[in-house]
Amino acid sequence: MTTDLDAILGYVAALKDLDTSAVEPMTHAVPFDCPLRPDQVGTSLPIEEALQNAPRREASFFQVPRIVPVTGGAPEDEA
Amino acid sequence: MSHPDVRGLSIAAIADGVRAGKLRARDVTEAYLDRIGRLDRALNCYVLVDAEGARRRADAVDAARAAGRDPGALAGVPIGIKDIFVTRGIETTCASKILRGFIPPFESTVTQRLADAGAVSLGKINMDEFAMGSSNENSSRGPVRNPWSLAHVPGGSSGGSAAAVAASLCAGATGTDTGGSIRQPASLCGVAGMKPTYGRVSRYGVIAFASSLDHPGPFGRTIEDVAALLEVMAGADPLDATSIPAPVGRYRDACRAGQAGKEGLQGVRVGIPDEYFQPGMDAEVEAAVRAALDELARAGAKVVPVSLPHTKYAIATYYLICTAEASSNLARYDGVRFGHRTKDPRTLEELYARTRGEGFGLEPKRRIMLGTYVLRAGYYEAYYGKALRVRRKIADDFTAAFTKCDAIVTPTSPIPAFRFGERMGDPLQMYLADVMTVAPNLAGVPALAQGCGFTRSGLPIGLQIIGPPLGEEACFRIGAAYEARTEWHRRLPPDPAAGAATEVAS
Repeated sequence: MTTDLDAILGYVAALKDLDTSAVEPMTHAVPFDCPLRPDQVGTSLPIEEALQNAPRREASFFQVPRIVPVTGGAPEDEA
Repeated sequence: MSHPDVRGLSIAAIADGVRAGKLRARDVTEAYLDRIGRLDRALNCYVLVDAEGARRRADAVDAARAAGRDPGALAGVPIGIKDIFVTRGIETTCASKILRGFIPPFESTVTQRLADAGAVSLGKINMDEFAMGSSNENSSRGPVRNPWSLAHVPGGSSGGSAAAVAASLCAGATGTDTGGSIRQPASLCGVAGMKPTYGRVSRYGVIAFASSLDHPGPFGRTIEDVAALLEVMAGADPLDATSIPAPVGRYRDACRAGQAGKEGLQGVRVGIPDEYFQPGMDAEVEAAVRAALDELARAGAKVVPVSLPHTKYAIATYYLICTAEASSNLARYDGVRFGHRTKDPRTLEELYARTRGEGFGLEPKRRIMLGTYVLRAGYYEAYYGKALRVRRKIADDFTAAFTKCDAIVTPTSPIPAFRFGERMGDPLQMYLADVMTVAPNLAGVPALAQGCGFTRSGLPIGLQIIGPPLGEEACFRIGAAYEARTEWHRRLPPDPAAGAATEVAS
């Protein structure tokens, strides 16, 4: 993997030869203005459907291991 | 039960037959399901066959017609859906372990529009994981095989879509093209496929790889079939802010203009870029493409030289931008809300790291690492910023060329299909094979791929027709004119023998 990444980075370095000091970066393939829609409340996914793929859940939440350490200690084992 | 013989049948023939009451959608669907059951063990095109759903949809088309309602422009047309399009209630994985078991609660705009037009989805189609690859060897579900030779790759990343259409395991298919992923497999499998203008087809519900380069599009056996699918798939979508509000073109009419009379290309200027005919191209590919150019001239086209001088920078620019965007897009697969989660993580960091380590295959990992590296503070301007500037130079090349011609014609791939394992050891060599296809993605211009011959060993060769922004009609007109004067699209691969599946090292 390291060799592969080195070879690829070596190859892309060829872009350095090209003078682009007068060129604006192109972030989008076709010119467009960000379209706006009326700020209205639409329908959204019901909670049950939004959670149907959760690997772990509790009530209406996605559940992950504890991220806030308990007082004065390291993170506890909990999934 | 006797089914109609659907081998080689066109979308137009099926839709016309069903609409006129000469074919039953259910019978057509059964015929394709029967072929999939007999032949797909050898080809591995489908990751999921939804037989019950397909029968239900086909029956609904027949019922609509019987009740005197319009059954839709694609009435009863069996299609395959690349597994990158999310389908409500049907597992969608992008051929990745990290999405195994993911049942989307919503439907992509493209698949919704196809269903609304009466098309019958047969199931989800195999691909390179997260659309990263040019050979289908990166699928977590095993590689798709090329129907013309089971020892050869079908191309990628939409290799399953191209192989399934070639082998008549569906009449048409959806694909996505970020750097050639529709056109290159179409070329390697001898079918037609189009990457339309960026924003012409909605990306809503298409799992993102590189958002500024991702183009959904259709596969078909003929140019007119591709046009018929695109007319349904294309159009503005309030759910995709980058979709183009312009009205959809009359693509089938453009095909008919090309087919009309002896010189359907009268007044059409076809540009030939010298930069696309360089040493390294396979001799049989070059001969076939040059013969195709002569045919276009005989159809009335004026062939003019054009120049795309920044072509040599396209691959480097493409791989910098696509890996940067991929590293950002693929950050969402973290095991929290959907998809794979590692067993018993002790901390949140371990949950993230082990989930991603277990879930992603080698190529997504390689691209996430490269993309993260090129976006790193201190390197951003030298790599990503530089690539965005060169991208504009490449797009400007096309703008200049299209002042001299109506479309640009090139090979699709410098080489025909290669053997499994031949290029997997060297990712840079694999990337370099995309040299003919990446520039249209960077510029956002439409490009059509179609067959223009076969090698002596019987492998398909592909032509690429690139149009100006929203110039799909020019591509279709030229493609259909060529097709009307040649017979390549009528050739069908042999059905693989039962038990022909061979183990492929991957």
